[in-house]
Amino acid sequence: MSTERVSIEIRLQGDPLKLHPGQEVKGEMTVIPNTELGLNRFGYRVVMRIRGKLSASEHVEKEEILLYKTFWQAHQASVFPISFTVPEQPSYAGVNVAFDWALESVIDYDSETDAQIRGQSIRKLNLRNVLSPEWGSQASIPLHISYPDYPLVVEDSGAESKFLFSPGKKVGIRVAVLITLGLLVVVTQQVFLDNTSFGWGPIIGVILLAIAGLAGYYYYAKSMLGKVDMQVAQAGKDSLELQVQIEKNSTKIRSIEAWYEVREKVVDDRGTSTVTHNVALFESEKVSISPVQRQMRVSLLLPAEQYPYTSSRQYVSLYWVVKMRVNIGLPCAYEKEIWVSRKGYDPIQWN
Amino acid sequence: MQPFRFNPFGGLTDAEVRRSIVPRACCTEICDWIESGKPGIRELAGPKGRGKTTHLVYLHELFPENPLFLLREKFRPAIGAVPAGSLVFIDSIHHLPLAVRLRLYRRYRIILTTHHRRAWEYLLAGAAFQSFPIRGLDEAYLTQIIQHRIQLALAPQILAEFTLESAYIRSLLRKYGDDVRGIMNHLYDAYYTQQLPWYEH
Repeated sequence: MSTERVSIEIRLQGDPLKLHPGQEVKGEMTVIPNTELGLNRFGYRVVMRIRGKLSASEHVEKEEILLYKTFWQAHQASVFPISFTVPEQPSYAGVNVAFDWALESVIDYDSETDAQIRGQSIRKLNLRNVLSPEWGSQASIPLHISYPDYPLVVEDSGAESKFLFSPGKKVGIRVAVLITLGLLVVVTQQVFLDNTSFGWGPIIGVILLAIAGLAGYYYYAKSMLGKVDMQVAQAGKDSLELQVQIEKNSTKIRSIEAWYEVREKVVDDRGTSTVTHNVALFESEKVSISPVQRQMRVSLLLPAEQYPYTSSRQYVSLYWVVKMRVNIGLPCAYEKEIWVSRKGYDPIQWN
Repeated sequence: MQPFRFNPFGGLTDAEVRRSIVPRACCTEICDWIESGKPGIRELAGPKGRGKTTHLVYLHELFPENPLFLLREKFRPAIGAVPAGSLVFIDSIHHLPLAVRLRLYRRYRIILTTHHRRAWEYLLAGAAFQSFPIRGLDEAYLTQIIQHRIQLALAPQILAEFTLESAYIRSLLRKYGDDVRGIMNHLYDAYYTQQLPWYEH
């Protein structure tokens, strides 16, 4: 890579786009200064940038400084060795977030060179071209860390299962249609029947009715089933087992189906607004459970493709949830987060 | 080979902001004021998504020896620990209570961002101020912003140049007005779903 002040070329043994966690990598960095330069520090670092629909952040996994307080003569080439262990967190390209790994040079000019470059840039006041001393002197190569071939480890998160107000599309559509019809009736009466004056009362009434309907739905489900306990455990290499225990009455359950989802949640905290983007990366096949006893078990196959482990950092979280839809006349749903990893820890939960 | 190292329309690190921003004219005036050492307040005002924080981060990158405080709800760093008379950069000053804001106006030289102009607050604190509206976007300016982001994300080995069709950029302006963040979010999704009308040359 050629730049104004210095040319830096990074070479690695092997393909930097085919790395595996734990692999030892060696290489070298060739430096040719184009002018005499004073340096505070020079070295390289392995860095991961979390990018996407959020304020970008970076994590330096390894930084090795090879030179301190020195001068580089113009056109005098130097070669420096590079070595690092490939980090545990694989590269990830999601919908709203990506984890990009790179190996890049670290160059920090001494105060004299720094002042010279910065001063020149700002005095020109051609702000589009204002450069910090580092810019134009940094070499970078992308690294791609693939998922290891080891099997996933599934563990129960220990959290309580959550009741969801998501009874399914059909019920949702019916409720929406009912509320819209109710509002239409009220509006039609107000527009066409001059002698009636309903004011806002009926509209508030319809809204209250909808709230009461939701509350009734919640109460009906909770009182019918009581506490619904969901326990998850690994069941062999390729599947997980969900065990469901219903506290109260399971005889009125018409059907149950279970599945799991891999989800990506990103909080867009750029500037002053905060928006949450939450998407399902994968949804497993829905498996029916026979509602014969209070305690039921079902086995769900793990995905054949690679999906991210459970991990979270600042505004990003990649997580797995196991879900269950129970039909008790009205369908209702429960979900619980589970912990899925390779070694039982979150590789991006850095301090 | 993928032409881009990453989605060009996502969030950027501070260093990348410095490299990709298309600075508005007010930056020159603010740089002059910073170098003059005069007391007072410089306010970047405008609705959300117009680039206030980006410009603040950029100005801070030019004068990194001064502290930058990116305030959020329930996140109020101890700005008072900074020595009086220093230059401080404060993003989203509305997260601080009025009494604290007035104290800061009297104590520091400040470059800040805000949704609404706060002239009466500065007058109340007796601080000299100048307000710079961060709003307005035309086709040429938006094209430049997009072009800089594309350059930043382009893989070093790629020699071709990529631009977006003018008609597409005009349609973005019609849809989002001067909401740069709205436009970037739209472009982010369009890049992900490969629906961008690229022009490669």
